[in-house]
Amino acid sequence: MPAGSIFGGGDLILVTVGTQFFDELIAEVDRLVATGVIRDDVYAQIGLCKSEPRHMRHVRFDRTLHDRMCEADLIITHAGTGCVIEAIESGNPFIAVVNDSKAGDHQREFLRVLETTHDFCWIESPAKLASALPDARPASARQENSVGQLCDDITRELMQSSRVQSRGWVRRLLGRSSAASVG
Amino acid sequence: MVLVTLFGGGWYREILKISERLPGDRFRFIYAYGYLNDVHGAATLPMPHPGERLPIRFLGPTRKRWYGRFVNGWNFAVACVEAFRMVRSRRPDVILGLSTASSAALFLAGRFYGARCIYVESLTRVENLSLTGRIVYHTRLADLVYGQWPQLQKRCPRVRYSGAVI
Repeated sequence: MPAGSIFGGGDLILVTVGTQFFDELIAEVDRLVATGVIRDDVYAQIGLCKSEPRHMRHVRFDRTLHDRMCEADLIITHAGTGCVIEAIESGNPFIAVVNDSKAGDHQREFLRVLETTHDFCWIESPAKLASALPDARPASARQENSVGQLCDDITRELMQSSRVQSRGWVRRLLGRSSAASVG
Repeated sequence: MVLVTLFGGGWYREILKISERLPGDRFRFIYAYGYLNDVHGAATLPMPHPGERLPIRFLGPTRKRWYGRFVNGWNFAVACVEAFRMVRSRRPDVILGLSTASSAALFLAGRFYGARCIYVESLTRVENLSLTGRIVYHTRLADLVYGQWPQLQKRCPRVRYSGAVI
């Protein structure tokens, strides 16, 4: 995404806070639109935010958010797993913003470690958004996806668990029948 | 039969990624979906394998308020009652929970009725387990705890790392 098109207007910018609240991010994007730093079409999904933006289109929740992410020219998202995974998979430029109001410091921790496996743009607070806009880029993986390995392991455990459970029932039944025969 | 927790947001993306790769022909699935204040949005989230969907009370995260702990305590009590009813009536072999507080209630019921409990920690937890993760790990409510980053094993050596959903 060339920086000029973001500032020049005509593109679609999607802002999302997922199922959470992140008033600071919505307020900052609203301010950038109001002051003319962002002149593009902005669509915001504001979740449980207390305040509503005045200078951009917005909805609380959107079932078609994934499709909108695929259509957007730039995605600005909070650093929740769902939104970050979707932003990466959309293949579009995005900026992840840490939401400090969430439990502990886990979003920052998450982005720091994700940076070791993926190349992407993220910022520590919404205040840095304006300067980060030109750096937005699609994520590229630095190493191979390991989801297959994780799921294979879980599948093995599920199968083993089912076997253990059925053996347990057999033992219980045998225990009951032997107790009955003794009685 | 595998009982899977189904909640919105990031939890949904992660459990979807895992479920997509589980062999649907080998297991029968049921889903415990989160609801709160009569909002049952998670009930209709698409999943790759069909299965009955049963509601369980959602616990947090909420805005910080002085009465938040009381609300969460009450919600947890309701979730426990629902979990015991669910597990007693359906008798799953395994409960697969992903990082939601309601997993703790389901694991409690699962332990009582002899189900195996497998917990997958959220992708966002890199060095520390979440509160639910700590509860199910230290009380051994979960038979197996998966972390999605190897760094978690430093503090919690029983956490298993086999990869991540991303």
